[in-house]
Amino acid sequence: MGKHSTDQSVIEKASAPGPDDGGGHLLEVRDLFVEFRTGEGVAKVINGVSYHLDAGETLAVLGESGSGKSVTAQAIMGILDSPPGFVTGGQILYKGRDLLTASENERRAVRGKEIAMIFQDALSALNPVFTVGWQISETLRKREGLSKKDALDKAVELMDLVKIPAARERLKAYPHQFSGGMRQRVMIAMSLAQQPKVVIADEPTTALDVTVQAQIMDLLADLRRELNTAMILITHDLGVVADVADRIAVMYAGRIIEHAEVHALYKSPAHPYTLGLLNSIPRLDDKGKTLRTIPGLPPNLTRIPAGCPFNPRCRYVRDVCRTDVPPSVSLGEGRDAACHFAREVLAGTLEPTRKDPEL
Amino acid sequence: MSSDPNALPPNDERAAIAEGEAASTEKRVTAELTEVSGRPRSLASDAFRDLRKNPIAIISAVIIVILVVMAIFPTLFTHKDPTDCALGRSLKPPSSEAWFGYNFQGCDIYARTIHGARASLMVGIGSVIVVAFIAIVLGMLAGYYGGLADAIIARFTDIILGIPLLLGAIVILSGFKNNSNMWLGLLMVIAALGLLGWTSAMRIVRGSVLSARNQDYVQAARMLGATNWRIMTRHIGPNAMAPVIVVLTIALGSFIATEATLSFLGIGLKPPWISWGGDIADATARVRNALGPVLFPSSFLALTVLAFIMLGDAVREAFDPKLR
Amino acid sequence: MFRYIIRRLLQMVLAFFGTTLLVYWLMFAASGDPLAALAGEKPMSPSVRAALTEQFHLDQPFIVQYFYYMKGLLSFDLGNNLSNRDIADLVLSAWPYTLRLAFLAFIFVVVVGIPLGVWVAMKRGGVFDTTVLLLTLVIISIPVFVIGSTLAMIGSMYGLWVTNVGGAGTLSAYLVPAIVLGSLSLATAVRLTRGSVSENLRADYVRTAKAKGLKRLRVVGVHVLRNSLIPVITFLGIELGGLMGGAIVTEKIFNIPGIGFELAKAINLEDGPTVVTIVSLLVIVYLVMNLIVDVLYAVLDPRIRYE
Ligand SMILES: Nc1ncnc2c1ncn2[C@@H]1O[C@H](COP(=O)(O)OP(=O)(O)O)[C@@H](O)[C@H]1O
Ligand code: SF4
Ligand SMILES: [Mg+2]
Repeated sequence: MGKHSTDQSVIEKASAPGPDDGGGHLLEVRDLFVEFRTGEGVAKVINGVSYHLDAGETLAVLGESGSGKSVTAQAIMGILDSPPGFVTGGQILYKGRDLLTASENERRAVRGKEIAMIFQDALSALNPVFTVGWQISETLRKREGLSKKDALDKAVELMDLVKIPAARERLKAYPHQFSGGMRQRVMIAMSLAQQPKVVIADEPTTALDVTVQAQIMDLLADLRRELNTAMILITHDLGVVADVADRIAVMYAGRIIEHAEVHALYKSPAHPYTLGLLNSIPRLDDKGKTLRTIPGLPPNLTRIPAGCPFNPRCRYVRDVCRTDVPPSVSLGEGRDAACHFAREVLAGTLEPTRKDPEL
Repeated sequence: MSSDPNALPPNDERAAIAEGEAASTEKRVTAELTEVSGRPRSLASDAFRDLRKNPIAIISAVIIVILVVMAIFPTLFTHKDPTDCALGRSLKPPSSEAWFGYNFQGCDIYARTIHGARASLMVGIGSVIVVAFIAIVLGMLAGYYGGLADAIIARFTDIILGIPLLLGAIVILSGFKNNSNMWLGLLMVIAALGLLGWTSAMRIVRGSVLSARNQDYVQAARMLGATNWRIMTRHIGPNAMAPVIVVLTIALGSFIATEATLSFLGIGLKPPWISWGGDIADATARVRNALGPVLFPSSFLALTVLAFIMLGDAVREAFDPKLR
Repeated sequence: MFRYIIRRLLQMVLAFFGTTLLVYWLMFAASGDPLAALAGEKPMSPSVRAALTEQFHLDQPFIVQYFYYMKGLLSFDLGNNLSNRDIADLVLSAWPYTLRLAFLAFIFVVVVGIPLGVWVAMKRGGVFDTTVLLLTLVIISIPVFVIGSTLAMIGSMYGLWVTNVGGAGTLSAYLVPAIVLGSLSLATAVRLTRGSVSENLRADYVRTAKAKGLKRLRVVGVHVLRNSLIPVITFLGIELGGLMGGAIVTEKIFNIPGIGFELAKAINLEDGPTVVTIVSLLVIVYLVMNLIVDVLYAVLDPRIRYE
């Protein structure tokens, strides 16, 4: 098991800048396409996603359920269910090296060690029949070559790090004996075991109570600062990300439709979908008013509408939106938005063509 | 599959196919029914469309139809008298006049094999009727009323489950000895199998009723003051149909196999019944150098059981395409 | 875990009395003529009649008969059979043969069934998987006595293997009978393992294990297998109990002087006392295996252990 030489190889290769150098980004997804081929047809789940992540920063990936956030993450990790899922195009560059063309052994060396993942539902994501100590220390034993005792000591340290009380006594407990929040802490400790450079947290708080959600988000923010780990924070809750993320990428129907620095995006979104999301956040002064959710549903991914995929729900839709796919428009300062009228939306000068049914 | 820790395993492997796997059928069927609660028919018609395209289902159904015809009109297949035996012909090999040859007693094996279908099918169908009755009554009581009724029925099921089908049938049949009336003998075999073989089917009914009971439209019917009887027959019954049919089809095959085993052991059907199991026992008891007398009734018996089990399996799959 | 076991134990005690009572009732009272049930319809001398009446307390009410019977069963005082042989003796001398056969069959089921089931689960949907699945259905459909009779006939016609094992048979003589006895369990074990493994392969924790960078062999061999084998092992435990009862056909065909053979003989001789005693013992073995399996379940699955 402990083949350290092969485990390292990809990184050594990667650190030498080659012709394929990803512009210096730690992790970069370029024009990724993924489809699921099932009995009901081909679902085009990811349609040209690009985003990047630099060392130590946090990127929030935001979008409604089903927009392809998790699938992108699974493609990065190389843990897509295949079949039915297939990557049909694009690149995933880690330290400049394309993971999609790497061998399975090389990819495996990246998993957990370079890029780790925290899953949404810790109860089902943890193996029910092994103790948490065993699960946290597993990779330390099998990949880092630690002795059983050392690995368990390290597991206790990790559990202390994520603030699980009485860590040593809880080593021998099973996942179902923990509360939801504690289980998610176990999950986090496990993901940090191999000191990854990147952590992908896939809706780490969605399955939790509101009060616990805040604690876990605080923990993630603290850890990120302490360990200087880069993080991709996947969420469908705009409210969660403001304090944690540096940049936000908004996903819709398998595309990044807006990408901006957090505060810029909060201040003035450049895409009607982002605008709708911001308006749907409950605010204190909203008391008594109905929330303005975005009307309609995300498209069926086996039949994505022509033109802008958001056009059936968009308040600002024009004729061009129904025929031409909007390109990603660069708005300066690292801002992009995939809307024909991004500049006007950003400036707040675009007139709606439809009434919002909720108003 | 065995996520319910308290579920004792079924006392018969053949039933296990139905139960272990049909339990999930029942879950899926009801799940789909919720989604399309407006028109629960579509699932059934989808399933039938699937079945018509499934070669295994078609072959099984054809075999079963032929067997039923064989059981009712054996003379369509053979004009020989299966009881016309002459020791002079003992163990004569197959010929144009006796396709399967003669057995030790000099009876035409082909004629006996054809005539053997009747007893097997009668036992199979008879026991399944008994099982269906017990399973539906107890399953509905347990599932619909829950509580004490459920607990009592569960304990009673434990008791029956503690007796393997074959052993239980042996006890019943050795307690009720009857060599004088052939029809009484048949009824005893049916009763023995039926009274001990209902546990899997009962659990399926109970499970279906339990999940159907909590469905919105059943709750609504309740609110509207529908009687329990009406709710069970109109709303829950049709829902539980598919998984119950699956488990009963497979049970039918399994009962035919058990009857043959009992007859093989000399405690099931006795002459003048012509039973494949009994003929196979005769063929192995006397001689050990003639394959024909064993092989022909064995093939028919295996094919019969296989046809029912395959059909049940195909129906289960049709109602649960995701299982594959 | 303690409470779980206590509850299962209580349930088993209930099932135990219920089952034995039912067996006893079916044998004696249900027919209305216990003497005929015990000794068949052939005429019976008054002394045999008196002996049977005394042995089974037939002059007492039913429940008292049952009580005496249970007392005998639990103290292994099993009385005599119709030819005046001590049934306990008979059982003790027959038991080793059955144990040998059942264990061999069990090993066959475990060694072939589990790997095959895991393998087809990983190739799910392929030609191999479909073939194995169909084959298991065929095996499940063919009654054990048919497989046994055919193999015995072929074996003796071509001199391929021992078909008359007898009391002196070596272990190798038990090989074919064990395969026959285990065939049905094998087919079921393959299907069960396949179902369980493929269900677990889809579980979320598999994705986690992969994301940790573990090798596929470890993900499947440790994470998936440890979970998938819980229902398989419990099934196998109960099968071990079932195999002993199921040996009746195999032992009869291959002439192995075990418990099943004695039971088959007793059926043919219409020896009621032997039949009911052996069946009761087999039922007890079966129930005890059930209980052991329940405990095993708790040992294997921490979610039950720490209920
Ligand atoms: N294993 C799978 N099989 C089929 N479809 C899948 C699978 N995983 C994801 N999908 C589809 O891909 C789309 C995006 O899913 P996902 O990335 O999980 O969305 P989310 O943004 O909520 O994380 C969904 O429409 C989903 O149906
Ligand atoms: S391109 Fe048109 S439809 Fe799409 S978001 Fe912009 S305005 Fe709306
Ligand atoms: Mg997701």
